[in-house]
Amino acid sequence: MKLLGMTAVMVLATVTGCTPADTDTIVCYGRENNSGTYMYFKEHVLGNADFGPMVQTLPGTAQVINAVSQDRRSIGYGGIAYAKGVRALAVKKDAASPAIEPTQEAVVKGTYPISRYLYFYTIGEPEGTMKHFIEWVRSPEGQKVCADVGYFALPEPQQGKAPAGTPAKETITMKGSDTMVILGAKWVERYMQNNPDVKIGITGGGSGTGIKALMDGETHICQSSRPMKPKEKEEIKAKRGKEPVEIAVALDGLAIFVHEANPIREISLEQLKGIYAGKTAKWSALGGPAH
Amino acid sequence: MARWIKVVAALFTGLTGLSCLLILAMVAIILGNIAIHGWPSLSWTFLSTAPSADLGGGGVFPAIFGTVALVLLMTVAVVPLGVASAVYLHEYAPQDSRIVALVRLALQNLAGVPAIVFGLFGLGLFVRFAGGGIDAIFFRGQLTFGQPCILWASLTLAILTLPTVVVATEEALRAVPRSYREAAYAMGATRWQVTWRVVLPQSVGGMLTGAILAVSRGAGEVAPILFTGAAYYLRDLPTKLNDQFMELGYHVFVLTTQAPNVEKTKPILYSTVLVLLLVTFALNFVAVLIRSRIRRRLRTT
Amino acid sequence: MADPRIDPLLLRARGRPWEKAIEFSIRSSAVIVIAALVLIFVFVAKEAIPLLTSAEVHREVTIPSMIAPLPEDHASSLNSEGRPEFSLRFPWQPGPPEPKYKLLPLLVGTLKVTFVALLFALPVAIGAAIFTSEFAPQVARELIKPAVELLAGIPSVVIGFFALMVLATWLQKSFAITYRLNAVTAGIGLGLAVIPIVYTVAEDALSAVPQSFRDGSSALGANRWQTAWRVVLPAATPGVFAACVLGAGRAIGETMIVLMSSGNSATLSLDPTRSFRSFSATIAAELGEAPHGSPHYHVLFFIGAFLFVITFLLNLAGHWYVNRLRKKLKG
Repeated sequence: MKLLGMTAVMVLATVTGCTPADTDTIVCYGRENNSGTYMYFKEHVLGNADFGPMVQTLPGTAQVINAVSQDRRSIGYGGIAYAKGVRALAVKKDAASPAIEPTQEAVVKGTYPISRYLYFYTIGEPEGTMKHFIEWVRSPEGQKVCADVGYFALPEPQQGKAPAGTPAKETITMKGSDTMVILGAKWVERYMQNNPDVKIGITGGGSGTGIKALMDGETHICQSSRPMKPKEKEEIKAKRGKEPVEIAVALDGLAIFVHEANPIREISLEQLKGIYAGKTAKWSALGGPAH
Repeated sequence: MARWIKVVAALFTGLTGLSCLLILAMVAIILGNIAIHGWPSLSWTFLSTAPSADLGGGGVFPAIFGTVALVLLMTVAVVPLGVASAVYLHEYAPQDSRIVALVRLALQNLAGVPAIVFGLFGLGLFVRFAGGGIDAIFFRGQLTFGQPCILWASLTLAILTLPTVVVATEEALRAVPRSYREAAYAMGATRWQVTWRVVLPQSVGGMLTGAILAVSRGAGEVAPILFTGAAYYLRDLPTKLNDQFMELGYHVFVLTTQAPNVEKTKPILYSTVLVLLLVTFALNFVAVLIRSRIRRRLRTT
Repeated sequence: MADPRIDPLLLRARGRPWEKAIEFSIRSSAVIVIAALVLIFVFVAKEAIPLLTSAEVHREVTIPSMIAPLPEDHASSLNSEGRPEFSLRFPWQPGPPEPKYKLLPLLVGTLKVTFVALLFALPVAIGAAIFTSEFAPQVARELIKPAVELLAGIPSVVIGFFALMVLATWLQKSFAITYRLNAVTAGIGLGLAVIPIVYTVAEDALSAVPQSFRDGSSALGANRWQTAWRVVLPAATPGVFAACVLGAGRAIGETMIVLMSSGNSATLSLDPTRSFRSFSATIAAELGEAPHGSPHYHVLFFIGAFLFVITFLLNLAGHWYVNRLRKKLKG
């Protein structure tokens, strides 16, 4: 009897919850809370307000893209590198500013409102093989790799010089940002081709995971798509005795994706905040339903 | 009245038969979908090269190697423990003792523990407690074993697959006729001699079945190794016990959720799933063959 | 009966000292099995205890705070019209600056998907078990059993993959569902993983019913359906019930399928066509980023301990019912 009742309740909930051809609801996709992309979005777009509960969290930017490409009503955010098969919107800082497309120029110049640095973190200044690797990453040769993967190289004045000498035979672990994991893997691949004696293992899991691994002493280098918080830096100093060192290694634009058939072409930060904080629920509020 | 009953009977038979068809259909759809999409990209190169950094090309060799290394270590750990437990339960312990009841209870419940809880356990006991302890005592605090690595991942899986090995071994022990043991005792053999020289040689089939089933289960479980050793991209193969490793099941998860170009990766993803399935099924098939031979022997004695 | 302490023949059977050592190690391996189960609980609970005892953890989260709703005037409780809404008062947002750990959406999510999975899996698996043990010709039996074993052999990550890539799209197109990843998708995937267990235990229970029951029933003039429905099934009820309980245990604890196909959004809603977040997927998704010793870390282990206890109880119940069935049919 109870089973029958529960079934009836669920059927009712389904029927009342989904209306046929409900094309007006905005379906939001986002990242898990261990993601630097998630944290960056929360800080810079939501102004630290909570995400609305209906934001579906997916364990990787690629999945966000995949989901958005299959769902006409959807919207998602993620690193610009991954934008294939969906459209990236032009973003307005506020209602009065012009809408800027997430192009290389706009990100490097800083005119795209949501662009950010991507970082490596180490405990104390990097030494030995780690230093050699990181210097290579920041050199023009390493920075060229960024474009291969869809990211943006640091502006030339910020790049480093090619490292001198040969690195010692060592095993290094890199852990962290899912946004950066492909870039990191490409760097590792290229570097290990030039220096076959060095072994570098890389794992994703999100910037938060990398920071935590650094804190717990489980990794040498942490990849992070957001800057570390002061509290995190303190904890690392307390647990590992040294301050973490922040090294910028690439530039990224946080793109806002919609389905290719969505007529919307631009969006303001205010509207984004409304959508992701759960206050704006319909496409019609932005000017036109998503067909 | 009779006709009404006949209608209901037909309906009932029909519905239950439909359930069977549904199961068959679902298995066919899943396997078919994977086979159709995965077969085209399957090639010798695919099986023997490493994946490219953007996961849009290359193969799965490191994952295959990692999986093999992982289950090999796991087997070394679980088979002795599982066989010893089964031998104790069936040959040594008085059948109504409390220990036997407790061990059986423990085995049944071990089999029901969620895989993610095993992951938490592996993290807590092996990586942190044991690994941290080893580092403190033998390596002067340097991070060697206190991190996720293939040793801890294989031990975690060993505990997870322990019930499988015990159950399969016990079945084989049961298949050995009592008369064999009685004859040996009558000739003056000790309990250990009976076990080692008479019973165990006859039970090799069951132990093999258990080991194979354990391997097939261990190769497929991802949740326990998420935090105890699996890595996203390691071009180099694990050579030391404290290395991380790539693994087929984890690779499927990573490809599904993190590959940047979903369209480009789809064929590779499907092929990896196909490889994982083929390996799992081949192992299961062999185990089933051996097991049916044991059962046939049990019926004829 | 000769005294084993002095009778030379029985003394001999006990073996020489090194054989006693072997016997000791064999006995200890059995103890290790028990120890493993106990250790699992101990080590998981150990990391959850600070949630109850540590003052530092209590600054961020306490057990009552995980259950109670947010106050009505809190910014997060307000919906788009600025009014407090019940389902918004239980956020699960472990990130800074203000972590919130409300368990209710996770609990509802877990129960929701378990319910859908069982709704799908139980009738199918039990129906198939009835068919193969009561109605089917031998041919069908030879077909279904291997098919079920095949299904059981598919790793859960593959089922999750299938649910995400194929099932989700098909369901969304066929039923015009708003959210592509939801409890129906994950529930059907989960059901596929549960079917083998339920089928195996139920089929065992039905086969264990002595043939004499069926023969007696047909002798009285019943047809096959009447025999199955009124004689065999009632006799096997404890076993069939055990199958359901064991299936439920499996469903509650399953991680990969739900992690990949649920959408992982901590929405408090009974609607199965919306995304949800389950306990096990939460642990898998968040453990990587919780620094060792942080309140978030302890909360996740608390959830793990909770899952362990629930599945342990369900397993205990399930096996107790199987034993009851065995005793019932023997005597």
